[in-house]
Amino acid sequence: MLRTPIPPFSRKKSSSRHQPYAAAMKQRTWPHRSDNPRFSALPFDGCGADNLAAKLVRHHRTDRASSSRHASKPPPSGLRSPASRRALAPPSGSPEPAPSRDFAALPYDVLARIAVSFSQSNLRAASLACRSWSEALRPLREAMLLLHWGKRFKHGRGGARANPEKALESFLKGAVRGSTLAMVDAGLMYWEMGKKEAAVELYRKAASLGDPAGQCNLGIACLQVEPSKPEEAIKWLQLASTAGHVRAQYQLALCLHRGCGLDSNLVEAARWYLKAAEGGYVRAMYNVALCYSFGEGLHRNRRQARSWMKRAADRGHSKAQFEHGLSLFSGLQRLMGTFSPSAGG
Amino acid sequence: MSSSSSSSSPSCPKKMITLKSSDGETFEIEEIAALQSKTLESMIDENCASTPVPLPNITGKILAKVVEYCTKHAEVGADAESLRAWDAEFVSVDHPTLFDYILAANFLEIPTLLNLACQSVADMVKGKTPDEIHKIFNIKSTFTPEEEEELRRENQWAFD
Repeated sequence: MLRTPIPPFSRKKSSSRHQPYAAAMKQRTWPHRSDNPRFSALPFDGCGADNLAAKLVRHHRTDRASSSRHASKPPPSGLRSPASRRALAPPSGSPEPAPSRDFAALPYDVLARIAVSFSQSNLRAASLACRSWSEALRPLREAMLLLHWGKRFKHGRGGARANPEKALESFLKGAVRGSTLAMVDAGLMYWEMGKKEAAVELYRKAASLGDPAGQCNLGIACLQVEPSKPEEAIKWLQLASTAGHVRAQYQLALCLHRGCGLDSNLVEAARWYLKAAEGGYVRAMYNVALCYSFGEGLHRNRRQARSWMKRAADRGHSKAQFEHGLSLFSGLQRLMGTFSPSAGG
Repeated sequence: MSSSSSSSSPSCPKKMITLKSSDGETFEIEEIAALQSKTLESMIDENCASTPVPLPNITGKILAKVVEYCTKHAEVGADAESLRAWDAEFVSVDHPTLFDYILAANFLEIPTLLNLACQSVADMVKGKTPDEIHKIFNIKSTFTPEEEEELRRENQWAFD
């Protein structure tokens, strides 16, 4: 918890104490790198014009057959094209009746699709479940490694200087292997370089694969591009918010607050601020405090207002620190007033 | 047995196509709803959907649900929140059924249903150890101890 000295009066340059909503809305809500460790990238999925029935049956035969005649050493890792990933068994003839529901025998591209936004630890656990899952998830594991290197290049860890070009290259390679995490980080690099269209394309890919960070970023991008697309932004922010992405929840609350992309609804806005605040998003904590303080969207509740303001202040929100300091000071004044002979109040 | 889709405007006749499951059941679905399946869409474009479309790898039970899903998602003016709730209910099924949804959605190329079903499985896998995954999905580890060791070593970099 951050502890900073209580600032003195009127240190803030902002014209009024009660401009927090507007100021909060103007604040850059762009996902900051450190809060958004998940990268996503463009997968070259390649699910195209194949004969789907044959593909389906091939996969089932493949997974069952390969598990019995699989060599003891795993195949060499390396760039794996989508075609080679699928063509593991000779083409089949007539379609089979519905196979037994063996999750180990899910088609590789489906397994990769399931794991598309997994973190490293989830990917590891899934890879250790059984051989076919391990095989199916190999490209994603490679993507994780590329993601890891990309982050190192971006931040210049391990004694190396920061190298954005190499970072982007690494993220894009991870994206090609299907990781939405790499997609989002590649998109973020593009956005920071000013290549907004490329960024949006990557975010869109991640978002359509169900990655909440991608959906959040896409929503924010829709709001920030010229001309802005507020309705589309809302759609993506809602998806990400429902999935629990705190930044998206905060952003959605802001949109509901100002009536951007949909009708203004203070109660709904406050609900989402509260969700984001409970999820740990500091700016949302501050806004919740204000909602309770002014009775906007939430019933006026001084105790809750102070509690949330303190929590935001503890997490380093500078305006919250100011407000919290003021409330402590006025509390102190009241306390001293109690003991003063000429009790004023 | 054929299931007809619910429609809101009975005045204009809706174009329907017929799907036939592996066990011979036929289902009618509005063409608009069927377009959510890229497979069916291309068949409709190629005029191959005037006769019942055979789907030999999807049973009647699952096909009925898929038709229900597509019909629901083709409705206009559906409230996003309630649709999400409906979707959540739709995938609250036993694992074999979920498995079948995935395969059907994959085969018919219905991105929304595939996303939904895959996400459902993903949520079940997240945060679990390999042993827990075995239990949930009733799968056996087919690794030799050496393979498992090599796989763990492959991922050692993550602990750097």
